[in-house]
Amino acid sequence: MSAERKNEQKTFYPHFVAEIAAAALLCLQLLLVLALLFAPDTGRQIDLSRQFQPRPEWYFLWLFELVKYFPGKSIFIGTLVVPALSVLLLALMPFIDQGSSGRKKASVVFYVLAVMPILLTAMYLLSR
Amino acid sequence: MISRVIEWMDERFGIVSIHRRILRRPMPEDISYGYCLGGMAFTFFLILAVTGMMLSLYYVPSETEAYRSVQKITEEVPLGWLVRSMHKWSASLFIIFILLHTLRVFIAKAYRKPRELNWMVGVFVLVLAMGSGFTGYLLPWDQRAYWATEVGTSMAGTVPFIGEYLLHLVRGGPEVNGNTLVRFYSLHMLYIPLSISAGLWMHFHMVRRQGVSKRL
Repeated sequence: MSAERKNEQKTFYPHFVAEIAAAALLCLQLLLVLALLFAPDTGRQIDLSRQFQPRPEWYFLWLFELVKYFPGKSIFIGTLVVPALSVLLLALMPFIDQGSSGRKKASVVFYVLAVMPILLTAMYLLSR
Repeated sequence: MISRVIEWMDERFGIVSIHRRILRRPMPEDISYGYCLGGMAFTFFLILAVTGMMLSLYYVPSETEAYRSVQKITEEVPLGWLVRSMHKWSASLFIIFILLHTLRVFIAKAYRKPRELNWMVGVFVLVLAMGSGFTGYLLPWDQRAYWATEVGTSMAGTVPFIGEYLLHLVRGGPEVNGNTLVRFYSLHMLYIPLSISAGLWMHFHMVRRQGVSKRL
């Protein structure tokens, strides 16, 4: 790198701060469009005598669906084993990716961890 | 004039020189806009913090008052409906952008040495963010909130051996009740945001120390 190029080196401030501010504004725009168009309403008051078919947040739908496949005593596989294992595998990704075929192993694990929730969510939505 | 005030302050505070290093740090030229995803997730975290603090001015975390206070926020407080709506939507966008950021980092292989710990901190923040969504879901204290939490927390009861104890711990009783509401409120407002903040501080500190990984 020549001395001249070095002088042009971009620094966090001001070069990147401007771009970051633009991205942050974009986020706010996106949020406002959604928030203005689809505002949440007030739900009905709690009525313990009427069982309500609940629906969790979208990022929990896959767990909701998963649990259905483990009836009775095996239910803890759906509620504990699979979710805990998923988080553990995701967290340990750097250590799965070790050695010559490490990236391949990591990719397979990551692919499964990504596709499983998407598939289960799709199944939940289709089964309704 | 303003610069003199700042100088006067800094003489006592001594904060400018420390941050000059951070602000003036060189950045690589060849990073794409894909590197924005994490920062965008952080933007939604900040919006969640601000809108959450606004909501806390009116929200009452009690079995008898919670529903009414949310109704008041939505229908009576000026722009309360918008703040609530923004809080709810930022929560979803926060999760979406964390997931996209995770995908980007995985594709870039940026979890490899020396960034293993930062990847793990990131996973920790994702789990906390989901926990925040779960606990926040109960706070409106309506039918949807109650039964979703009833079903969600019942999963704790299925854990072998310690299930019953765990269920009691999560709910603050055998059923979802006022104790659960206060418990979830506390987690949602205090424990989880503080933990996420600590996690993000570590996350950003390590990014600064190690630099961003080379482009894809």
